[in-house]
Amino acid sequence: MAPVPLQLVRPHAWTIALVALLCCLAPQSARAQLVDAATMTDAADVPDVPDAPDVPDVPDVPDVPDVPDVPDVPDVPDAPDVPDVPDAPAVVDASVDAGASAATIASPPTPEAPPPNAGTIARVTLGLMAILALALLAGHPSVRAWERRSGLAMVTGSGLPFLALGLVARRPEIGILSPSVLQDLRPLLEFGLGWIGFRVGTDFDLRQVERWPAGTVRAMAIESGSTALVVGVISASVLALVHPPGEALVAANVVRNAVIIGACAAVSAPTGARLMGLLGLLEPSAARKLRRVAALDDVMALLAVALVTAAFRPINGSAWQLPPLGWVFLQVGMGVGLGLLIWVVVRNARNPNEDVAMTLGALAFSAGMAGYVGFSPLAVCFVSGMTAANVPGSAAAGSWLSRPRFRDLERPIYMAFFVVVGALWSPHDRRGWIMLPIYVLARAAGKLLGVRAARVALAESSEGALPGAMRLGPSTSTWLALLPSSAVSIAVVVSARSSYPEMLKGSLETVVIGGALLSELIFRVSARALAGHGTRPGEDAVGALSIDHDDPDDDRPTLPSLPPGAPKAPR
Amino acid sequence: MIRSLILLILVVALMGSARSFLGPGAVASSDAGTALAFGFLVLAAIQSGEIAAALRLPRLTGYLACGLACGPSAAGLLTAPMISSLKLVSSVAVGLIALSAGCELDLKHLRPRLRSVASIAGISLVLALVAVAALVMALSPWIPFLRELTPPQRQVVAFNLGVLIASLSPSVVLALLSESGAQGPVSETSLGVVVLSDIAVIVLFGIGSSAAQQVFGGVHEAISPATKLAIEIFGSIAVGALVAVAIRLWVRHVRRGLVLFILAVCVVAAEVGSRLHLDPLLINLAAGLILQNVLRVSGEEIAHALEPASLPIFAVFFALAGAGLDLAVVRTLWVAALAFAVVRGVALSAGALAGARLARAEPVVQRWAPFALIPQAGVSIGLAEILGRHFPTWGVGARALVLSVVTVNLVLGPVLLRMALVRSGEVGKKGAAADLSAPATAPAPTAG
Repeated sequence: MAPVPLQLVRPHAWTIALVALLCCLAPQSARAQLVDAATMTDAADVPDVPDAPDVPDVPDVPDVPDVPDVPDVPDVPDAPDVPDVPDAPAVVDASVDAGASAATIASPPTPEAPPPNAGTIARVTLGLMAILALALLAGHPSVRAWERRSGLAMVTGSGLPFLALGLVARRPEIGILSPSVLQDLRPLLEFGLGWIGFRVGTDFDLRQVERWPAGTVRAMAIESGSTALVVGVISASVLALVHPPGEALVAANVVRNAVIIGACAAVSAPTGARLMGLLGLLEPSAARKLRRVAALDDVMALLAVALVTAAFRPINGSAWQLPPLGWVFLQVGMGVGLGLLIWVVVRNARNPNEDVAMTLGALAFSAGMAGYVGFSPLAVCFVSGMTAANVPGSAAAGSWLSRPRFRDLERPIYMAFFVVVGALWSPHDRRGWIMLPIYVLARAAGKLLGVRAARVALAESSEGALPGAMRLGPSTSTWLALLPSSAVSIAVVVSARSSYPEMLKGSLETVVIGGALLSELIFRVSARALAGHGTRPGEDAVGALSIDHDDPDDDRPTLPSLPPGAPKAPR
Repeated sequence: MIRSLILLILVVALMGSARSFLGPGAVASSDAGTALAFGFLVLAAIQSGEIAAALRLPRLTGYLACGLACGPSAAGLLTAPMISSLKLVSSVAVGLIALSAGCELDLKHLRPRLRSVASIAGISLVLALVAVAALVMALSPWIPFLRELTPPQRQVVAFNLGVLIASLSPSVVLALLSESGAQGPVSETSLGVVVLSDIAVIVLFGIGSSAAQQVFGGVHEAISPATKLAIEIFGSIAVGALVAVAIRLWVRHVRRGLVLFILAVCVVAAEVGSRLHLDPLLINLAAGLILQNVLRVSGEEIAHALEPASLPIFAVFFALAGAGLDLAVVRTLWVAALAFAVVRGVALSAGALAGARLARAEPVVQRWAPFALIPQAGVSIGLAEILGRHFPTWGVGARALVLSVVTVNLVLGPVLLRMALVRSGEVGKKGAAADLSAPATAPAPTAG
């Protein structure tokens, strides 16, 4: 077997640094929990509070009904010309035009904030600018090339540093992402969810389904379904056990939380299969088919999210009353309708600028409408994307958001999304840290069980499989290849948090983000152990996430180009 | 046009159905409401702009009409919280507009016109301020919120109303210049005049609010208004210099993704502005001026880079401006609004004409530049909001009056300015690149 570069399988320094960060956060949160508990029992025993509490999540501002028209003020007899309007509801934004903030000369009659000094101005300006510049630089081809060379999924590659950046930047002593800034940036989450859902949907070309190896969908359903089931059942049990005393345990909420955690666990990044193929631990054809399965995992998670929002309605008292199945149909119908709308408006765009504007506007509209009626933008926009990509006469699937003008936009959106997610993540809930190792182990067990079950279902152990039919490689290699987690898991968490803000008080993020990191570590250490220390110089892992438009049929190493005389990648 | 109309109806119907979802006690996620409103405004405003263009009106008028029709005071498809939650978009748009304006102002190139610009801006502003203040004083016995005030108090209120009603709109002028691809003496002079007037209005408002505080008491503050004004102006310029250096570094060392970087910079300026009481307009204007005139970054390059972002940002920005107008107030005060709008328009035009003649500007400038002074938008609205908050005894009434005048000028101003640009023969001289209605160079994803 040709040698493999060590950096392909060595845990990256960033990963180690971020594990260290998570470890630092864990004791801190545990300490905070202990202090809280001690305060409840015997306040005198607590000497001092070790750390300033984090800024709490910004509460959602409720939508209020329309401002009613002000009734006309009747004319005053002795003031015929200019009647007074005592309190007209001027809903105008004060910053609508130039110089509006000059109005701050007379600032609000609330307790006055200390005047900004030069240091504050410079820190906030440069800090915010640095974060946004980094988000843009993360989309630079050289950063993508590094990520691909290292074979990291986006969530553990360039994504995790941004999560950490968000986590750090929102701390009060840093003060860059203050609650007001976060409040302004939160709609980006809704838009980001819509973008990711649409992206996954447009990659799902129904016209290609019949070209897939027979049994692909069955393998995906069994593999990801088993994982979701195992993780869901174990999570439900653990959540019931660690439920805070004094709070009523609602069975429906436990089921809902378990389904969401199961959905997060089900998704795999295709990077694992690709790397295993390059390491020679999987046959090239098996690796290619497995990447297809891993990419399809996203669909399973999105379906689970759609079912959860239909069964556990996040908005009570709406004017529309439907049974759960009705909500499912409505969700699908909304997705199809909005997909057609997107297709129509983009088709009618008359120039590239309008194309960009209409696509972004239609995506925001779709994501916003889904969220407004209590659906997941992720699921609805997935259906929209699938519809738009599969309308007869539409472009080939995958080409919607992979055109150059969107490609430059995509990574910064993801990175800004990660920063906001990191800033809203509150790692101080004890349950998250208790759940984390259990989640990782349960996920690994679920994947193993799923792979074995899929092998049995595909009758791979028996002879006579049809040529071209779905074949999974050896159980251990296949299982290992499916361990890395996709960024869609983070998107599922964000979607759940958006629909159910009270859900598990921030533990879910700890479980899924930490789980992605630990799974990647386990994968890399195990792959290294399995592959030995041989290296194959000049070859790159070409890892990419499914939402990075990873084409399972494309095995070409892209960067760097192979040196003359080097062995070519196996196909 | 028919296609745009059908699409508009479709989008409005979808929005209406979504808005019907919430029952009396139901509360939707505010983030979803923001995304929904943003997406709706992009889609609906762009189609409205197309319809307006087909009717030979400025696209901007279509955006405004769309916002006005869908806003809380008309159809109610957009709620007040939705509009309020999109303030970041407005601030970013202001930043984008100001940055573009700064980049367009090549002082070396503008030097021959500086005399005209200063003369037109100075005389028209002073004349309008005096005329409006005089009208306020003359009508004060019949204006309820002035009737009870003492003569010195009335004079202070009249001065403040004069400043607010005389203010111009750089955003409308720049958007129209960008939309029409206009270039020439009228365009250049108009841009300079509105930018200069805007800075003057900020300073004048500082003086006016300071005087009001002396006379009425107002809200006690630890820092004097003069200090605040100095912090705002010089702080904004300092931050603008930082922004300019950052853009320069990006242009020199990265280049890729310049438009996204500039948008990010505008977000930063908006956030910094709101948190540190600085003015996003001044920040970005200073950044643009420094980039163009000190750091020697090509303003054309920046403007070209910003083209793809301009369409959705401008559409949403002006639709929001339209949605923020209150038809109920206009219905109540339409007579007074018309009177003040006429006096303002006449005074500004006369001042501009006098200023242009005094500076011996070209005849085409003398004839058409006054029309650039008619549009009015958020400066007045923003400042009136502050007066309303801080001087409740008379500020609320003053705000209602200013809003109604702005509504009239916001509706008529863009139409008049476009007509002036067309008549002066400057439309389209900047090249097809600036015209957003240029034919497609890359097709939408419809091919096989």
